[in-house]
Amino acid sequence: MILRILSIAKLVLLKMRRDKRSIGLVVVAPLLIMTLITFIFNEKPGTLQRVAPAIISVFTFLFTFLLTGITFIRERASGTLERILLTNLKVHELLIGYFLGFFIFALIQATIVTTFVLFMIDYSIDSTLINLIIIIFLSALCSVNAGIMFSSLAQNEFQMVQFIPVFFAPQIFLAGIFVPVHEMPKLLEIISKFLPISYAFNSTKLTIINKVSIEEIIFDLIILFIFSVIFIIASSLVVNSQKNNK
Amino acid sequence: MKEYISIKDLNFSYNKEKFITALDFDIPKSTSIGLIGPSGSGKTTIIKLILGLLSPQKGSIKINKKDYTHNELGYMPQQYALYEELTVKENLEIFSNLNNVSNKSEIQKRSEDLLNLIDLSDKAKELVKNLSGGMKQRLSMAIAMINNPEILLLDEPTVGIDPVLRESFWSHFKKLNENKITIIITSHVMDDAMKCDKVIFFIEGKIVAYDTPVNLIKYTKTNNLGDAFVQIVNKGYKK
Repeated sequence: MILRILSIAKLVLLKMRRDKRSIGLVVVAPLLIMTLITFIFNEKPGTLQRVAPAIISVFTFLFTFLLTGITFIRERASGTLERILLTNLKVHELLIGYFLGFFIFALIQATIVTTFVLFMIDYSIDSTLINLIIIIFLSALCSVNAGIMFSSLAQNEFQMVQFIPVFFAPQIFLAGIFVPVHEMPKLLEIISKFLPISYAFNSTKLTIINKVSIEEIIFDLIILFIFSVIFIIASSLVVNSQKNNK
Repeated sequence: MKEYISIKDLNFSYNKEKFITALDFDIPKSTSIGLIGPSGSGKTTIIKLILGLLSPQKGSIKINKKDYTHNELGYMPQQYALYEELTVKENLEIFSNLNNVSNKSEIQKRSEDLLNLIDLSDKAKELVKNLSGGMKQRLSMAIAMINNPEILLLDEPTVGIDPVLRESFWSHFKKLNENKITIIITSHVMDDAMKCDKVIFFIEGKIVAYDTPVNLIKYTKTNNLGDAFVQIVNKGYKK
């Protein structure tokens, strides 16, 4: 089992390493966006403090979601997904392997985004850094599997890109970034509780701004973990159903 | 000849529309069987049913009178289905590992043997995206054989390859038959059909004839398999 998981992780890494344009975008895209944000908010440190948690949580989700989703859809379109699933590889091994391979890239992107943001808001490194690392880890886990799940529902790369507004727009508007969740109409408040970015944003905000300990964000972390598990199960089911085409 | 792969009363529908109807046939061991028919006749669907990629609504498929798992089979799809950003050798290694071959020297030996067989030894370190279509086709076939299967399912293996390479593929298929490997090939090319031990003609998910190429020509009183196929479609097949 371990060999098969590591083979998939190695496959992802090799593919990404050889695809110089994609690897460039993995690093350049967050660098470019974060530089832009730095210039925009440089003169307004108050606003920056407020948007910093949103930037970290939304971009960590977005970049990883796109990277995994597009790669997985290409795997399906080229017929290699069907072929590897005819070997001894199990669907859960494929998903773990994919996560391990992409987690490195997700981590690179999240590190670039987070480092920029922390630098901009003069964040002093202390014990709360571990909170951020755990939030990033869980966000990446959630996002990799959400990417796989949505790519399984899309027929091509164009449709996959269309899933970005479908998946992200409600989350961005309802996560409490623009209006605090408790000030929203009751229905929207309830919907907000079912969106993973709400928890990523809330825990990041409490960590960066209020400097809370891990105990105070443990609920958000557990919910993020539950979302990850739901996405893992959902993506396993959709890949399995496509494997069996039943 | 004794039955090896046994397909009984197989029915399959796409969106409630019958696509494969009451399919019944046996395949003897160590033979090359051609599934021949026009596009959309159900050739690939039968391959996918045997592989377990599709589930029949009714009927059964047995190998040696037993149920089986798909990883006992070798499959070459119509698309190349290769990792283009990886080298030839890396592709073989990945598929070896996914088929539970972990011993490095065993992977090395099997890869070398297969590369010799498909005449790509000098391209082992080449990225797949830089190979020609014919080379990719050969590599795809090597991957289908990486798990030493006793049954090879080849979906249009000779599409896009030149006549010389087609001949070498067929001499290789015959060698595999001698090594007790059973081969099922889909094709719409009558040259391929002529080289099979037996041919199954398909029209709209139904078998219209199943016999040796020589018999098909003989009993339809035609000169070649192409004409025999047309005659069978129009008048049916009687021995």
